[in-house]
Amino acid sequence: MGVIPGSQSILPEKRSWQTAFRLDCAGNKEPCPYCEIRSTGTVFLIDRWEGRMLRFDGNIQGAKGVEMARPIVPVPDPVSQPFWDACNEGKLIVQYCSICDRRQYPPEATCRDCGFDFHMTWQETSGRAKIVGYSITYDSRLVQWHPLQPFLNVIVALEEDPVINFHTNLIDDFGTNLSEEPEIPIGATCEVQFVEAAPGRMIPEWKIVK
Amino acid sequence: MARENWERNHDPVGIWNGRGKAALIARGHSPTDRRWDGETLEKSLGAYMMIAVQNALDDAGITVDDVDGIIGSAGGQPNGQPLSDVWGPRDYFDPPYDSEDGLTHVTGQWLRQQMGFKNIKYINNHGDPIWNLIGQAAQAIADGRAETVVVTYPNGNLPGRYHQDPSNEARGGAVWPNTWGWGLSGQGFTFNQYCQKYGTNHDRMAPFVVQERKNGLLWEHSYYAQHEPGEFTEEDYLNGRMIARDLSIFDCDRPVLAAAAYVMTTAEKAKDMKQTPVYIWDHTESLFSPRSLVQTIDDTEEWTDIQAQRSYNGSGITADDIDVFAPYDGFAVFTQYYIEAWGWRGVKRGESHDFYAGDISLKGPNPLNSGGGNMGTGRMRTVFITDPLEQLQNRAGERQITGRAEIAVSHGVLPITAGTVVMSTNPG
Repeated sequence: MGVIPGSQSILPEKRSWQTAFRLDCAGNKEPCPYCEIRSTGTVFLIDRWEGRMLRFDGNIQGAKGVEMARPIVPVPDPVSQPFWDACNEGKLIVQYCSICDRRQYPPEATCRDCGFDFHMTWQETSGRAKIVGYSITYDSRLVQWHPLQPFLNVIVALEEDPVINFHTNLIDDFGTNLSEEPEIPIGATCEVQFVEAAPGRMIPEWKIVK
Repeated sequence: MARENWERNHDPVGIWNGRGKAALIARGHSPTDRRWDGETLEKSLGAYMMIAVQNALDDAGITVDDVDGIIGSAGGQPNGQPLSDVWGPRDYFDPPYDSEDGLTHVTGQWLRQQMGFKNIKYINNHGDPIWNLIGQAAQAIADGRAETVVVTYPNGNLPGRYHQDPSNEARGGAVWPNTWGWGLSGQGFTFNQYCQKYGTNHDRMAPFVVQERKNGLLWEHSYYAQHEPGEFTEEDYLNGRMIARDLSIFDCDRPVLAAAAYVMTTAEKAKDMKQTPVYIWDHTESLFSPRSLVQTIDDTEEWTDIQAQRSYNGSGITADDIDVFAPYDGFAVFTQYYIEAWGWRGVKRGESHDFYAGDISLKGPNPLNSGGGNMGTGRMRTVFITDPLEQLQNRAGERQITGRAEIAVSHGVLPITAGTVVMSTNPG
C-alpha cells in the first residue's frame, strides 16, 4: 500500500476500503484517474471511522492532507437560511405548518398542503432518527463526488415524525466493501451531528447511537 | 398542483369535454444518432427537427400551408430546458445556428422561419415531455385555438458525457440532494423499497428489459435498430454495470440525438388526410411532491394510483379496455408502478415481476410496450406516441400486436410528474 507523505498524521488508523483504494491509487506511478478528474488536482479521502472527509490539494504524491470541505457545498437562499443558521448553532430545525399540523423538510416557501406560508414556523427536532434504507452510488452525475465513488447514502427518518427523512453519508460503523452489500443496520437509532462543509457552513449528518 | 390551466390535473376531472374532437394522424422521425458531432449542421438538432416535421407532414399528406399551430417542447424538458446540455459558451455558427435555438433547443418560431410556415396562429413552446404536449395539442384543438397542429419533440445529445455537473456548490432545490451526493441513487432506492415490500429483487427485471430491446429492434427509428442491432440477453442485463444500488446501466435509457413530430387535427379535417384518424379520448396530468426529502415507495404508489384513477375517470375506460399499453420506462425500474396502478391485465401491487416472468412477448396476450420503450429505442420518448398510433392505425408492421388494437393508453414521464393520453380508433 502506498503512503501519502505528509498526510499520515491525519489518516485514520482503521482504513476503510475507500481509503485503502485511494492510498493504493496514490502510490501508483501511472496517472491516477481520480487526480485527472479535477483540474486542481484535488483528491478526496473518506475517513469513515471519524466521520471526516479529507482533502489533498495539488500533487497527491507530495500533498499535505487537510480536513476537507464537502465535495459540494450548499448555498443558502432566503427560504433555507434559517435552517442553515440553526445548523451553525448545533440545532436541527424543520418547518412546521400549524394549521395543517405537519412538519416539512426540505424547506419551501409555502406549505405543500395548504399552499400558504401564513402558519409556517420553524420547529426544533429531537435530533434522533432511525435508519430506513440506503443506496450506493457507483457513477454519479455530480463530478465533485466522483473521487469518492462508490459512496454510501443512508436515509434516516425522524424519530418523532418518520415521514421526515434526511440523507447522511456518515458511515461510521459500516466500514465494509461497498462493492458488496454492506451490513447497514436498518432500524438503528441515529443522532444528528453537524460537520463543517465549508468554513462557517455546518451541515447535518447522522451517527448511530451506541 | 396546477402548472398550466390547460392541464386536467384537479380531481374530479370528469369525462373530457374535448373527447373525440382531436385526432392524431401522422408521425415523422429524423435519423437517430448517439450524439451530435458538434460540427455537421445537417445533423444538428434543428436540422433533424425539420426532417421530422417534413416527414410528419408527408405522412399526413399535407403541406406547411395546412398547419396553423405548432406546439412543442423547445428542448424536450419542462420550462424549455434541453434534454441535452447546452452548447454555449462555445462559439455558435452562422444563422440559423447562431444561438442555442437550432442546436440544443428548437422553438416553434425557429421552425416557422426555417420551414416557411405562413398560416400559424398558435405557437406554444411551453415544454414538458411528449405526453403533456400531445395533451396540450388536443386541448388547443378542442378549444378552437388551432385546427391542424404540428407537435414537435427534439431530443438532443451533445459530445461528451451526458448531464455531468461539475459544480462544487449547490443552489436552490439542488442543495438537498447534491450536498449529500444523492442523484440517480434515488431511483434505485425506491425500487429497493419495492423489492423489500413485495419480496422480489432486481434480477427479476431482466425479462422485461430484454423483451423491450427485442421490440425496439423492430422499430426502424430505434437507436439500437439503426446502430446496434445485436441480440441483448438476460445475461447481458444481469452483468450490467451498476450506476447505483439496484440501478444498472441497462435500467437507464441511453441518451440519443433524434427528433419526432406529429400531426394532430380536428376530427372533421382528419377525414380528408392520408392516414386513419386516431382520436384523443382524454389527457390528464399531475405534479406531485414527496412527503419529505427522499421519494419513497409510499409516495410513488400513492401518486401513480392518483394518476391512473384520474385517467380512468377522465376517459371512462377500464383496465379491460386497454389494448395497447405504453407505460414509460426511462428508468426501467419504475415501469412496474404504472402497470400496477393501472391494473393492466389484472396486475396488482407487487405482481409485476411475476408478470414479467410470464408472456409479455409482442405476439402474446400481454404485449407490454410493443414499441420497445426507451430501453429498446434510446432516450427518445417518442416511441410512446408513435407505437400506439401505429398500432391503432394497423400499420405497425412486424410490431403489430395480434390482439385487438382499438384503445391505447400512453403514460409518462416520472411518477412525480405525469401525463397520460388515451387514444382510440373510435371518436367516442
